[in-house]
Amino acid sequence: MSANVESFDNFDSDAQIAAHQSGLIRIILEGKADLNLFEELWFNSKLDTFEFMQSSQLVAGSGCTAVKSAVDYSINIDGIPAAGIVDRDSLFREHKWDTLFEIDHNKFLADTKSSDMYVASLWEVEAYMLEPDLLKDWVYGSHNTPPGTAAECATALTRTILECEFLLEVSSFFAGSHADGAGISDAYFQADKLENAQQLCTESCSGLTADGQKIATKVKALIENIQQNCPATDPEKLHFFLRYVDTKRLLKRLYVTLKVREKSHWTLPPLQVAKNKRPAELEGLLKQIETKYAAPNSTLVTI
Amino acid sequence: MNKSRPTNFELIGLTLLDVGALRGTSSFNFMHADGRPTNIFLMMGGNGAGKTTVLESIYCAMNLLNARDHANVGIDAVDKFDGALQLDARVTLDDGVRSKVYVISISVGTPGLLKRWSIEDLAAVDVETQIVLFYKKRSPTPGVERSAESDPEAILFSEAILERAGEPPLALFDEANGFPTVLYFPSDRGIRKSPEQTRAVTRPHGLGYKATHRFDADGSTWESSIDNLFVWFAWLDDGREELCRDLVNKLIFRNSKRLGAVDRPTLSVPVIVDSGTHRLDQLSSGERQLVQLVVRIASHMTRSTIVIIDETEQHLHMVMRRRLINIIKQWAYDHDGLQFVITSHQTDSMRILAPKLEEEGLVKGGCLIKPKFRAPHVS
Repeated sequence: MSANVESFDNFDSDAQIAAHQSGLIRIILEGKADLNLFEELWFNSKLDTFEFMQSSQLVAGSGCTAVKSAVDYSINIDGIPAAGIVDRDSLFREHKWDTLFEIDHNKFLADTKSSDMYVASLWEVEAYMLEPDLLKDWVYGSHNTPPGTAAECATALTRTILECEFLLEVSSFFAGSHADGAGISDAYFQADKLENAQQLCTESCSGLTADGQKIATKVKALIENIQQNCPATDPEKLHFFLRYVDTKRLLKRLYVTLKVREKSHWTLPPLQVAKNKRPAELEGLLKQIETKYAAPNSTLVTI
Repeated sequence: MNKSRPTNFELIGLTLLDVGALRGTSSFNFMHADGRPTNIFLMMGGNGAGKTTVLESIYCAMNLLNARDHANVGIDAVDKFDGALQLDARVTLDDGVRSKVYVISISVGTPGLLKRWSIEDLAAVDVETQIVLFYKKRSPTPGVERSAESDPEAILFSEAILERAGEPPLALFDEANGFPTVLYFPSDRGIRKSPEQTRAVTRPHGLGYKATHRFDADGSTWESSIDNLFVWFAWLDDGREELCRDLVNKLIFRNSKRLGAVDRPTLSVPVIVDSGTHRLDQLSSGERQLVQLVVRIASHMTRSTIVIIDETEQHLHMVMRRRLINIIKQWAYDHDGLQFVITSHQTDSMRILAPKLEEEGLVKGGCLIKPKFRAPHVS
């Protein structure tokens, strides 16, 4: 027709027409939990700019590969600008150990940079719920025998950091096992304490294949670097550790250590919203994506 | 007396130059890719994109057919500035001996004709000749007049419409009449409470044939009200009143309430509900809008009708919105020569219309106006 007018003939489906009518930039996420957090809690005020989607709404498959495929599909087939956000643990699945355990955040950003895909700096999206100053509220309200005591609330952060330190100590075993193709449950080492962690890890690694042990050794060196460079204050320390610690394993341990109900960490995002806190990193990422496509009549030219 | 009369008229194109928010040249093709004129054309786009401008342009271009001279076109861009518009339609003219099909272009605005149809373009719509009906600014007195530069066949077409003006329709869905008409339902449509003191059995205002009818808030006067239309049909006693009630009851109310027969002592149309009766204007705004649409289209249409509806789903609950789209689909299927050009913001309405789905009897098309992103198949 003409520059002002786009005929329906130029679209393949009603869904494509609907997407172009809405004019929203798509943010493609890994799963339903991510979608709930972005769409209903953290960034519902951004729904005039973004459409948050799971990759499965556009393509088959799951995980970070599906996110990349969905972004490509959106841009190349639907003609809708899109950006994908994947968890840092995607690097674990891809065995990109150096990047996964990189301590220089700028280098991490440089190593993971791509035009339409973003790797979040924390291990997975649920890690963004664990704000240092909300842990006491979590313990208070979600205690197995509520409310949590003042002492339990006051020590929530330090006890969380200890659990992170335990998991860091045994991370090389998890990496070596993954390289061997062995699945290790989230509750593995559940009953074990930090003082035994080093010995446990050494013993467990001895059961890996030669290749697995090679990976474990490599990761152990990277973890030592993390341990030596961790920040001084507890809040900074927690944020730093949440990059490198498997979030699901951590939560499993915290339910026990903090004596909170299973899955009760889902009470934290509404608390974040109530206190007008949103994950600053993710908010900045969205801003960056919005700016990229801000020009009127944006086309899909990448910057 | 002019023997040439239109027996068929189908909207196939609209070209605008610098009209409203649509700067530059904007072309709208109301044809399906297979060459048939669409009978449902949906326009979508953001607020302020220019959807209403397109509808107003269709209405104003066709409105020029109602007279040889006009105080203005009704579009600032054309009346006060150098904007222009051209409406293209496929028209069949019959002089009593033979029929011939043309592309007729109604052209107005300083720049003149915006699109000259090539031989290939004409062949694509199975037509050999483009004829032009020019309207130009008068000088020195202000106004717009039909230009003598127009093609003779176009002037004959224009004169036929003027001769037919005011002729009352003889039936609902007056499919014996091939003269073109536009029924425009702008966004401020609906039914108002009729002035009580003036109720009388009166010939309804605007019921006779015109090239355009605009139905904003029905009922500003008794003569123009839906109530009076029902009263008039009841008084004529030719079945139209009953048929109109049937349409409303079947298509809109669906057993939730019922439009009763005209109450002759009070000259009113009772809406019968569980708790009693109330007036037509006491329906919800969404219901009033649907009643207006159904009754006005049935009463005023010809076999060559372009129904244009702005903000199709305004005031409507999701269910009624879906019902309206289905009424539009059903009527487009039932009545040859009935074309709908509608606007919407609702992707839900678009999905019910299903523009990409082939459906028997429906020729669907549409466009996005000023979309934010480029379509996948446009390089």
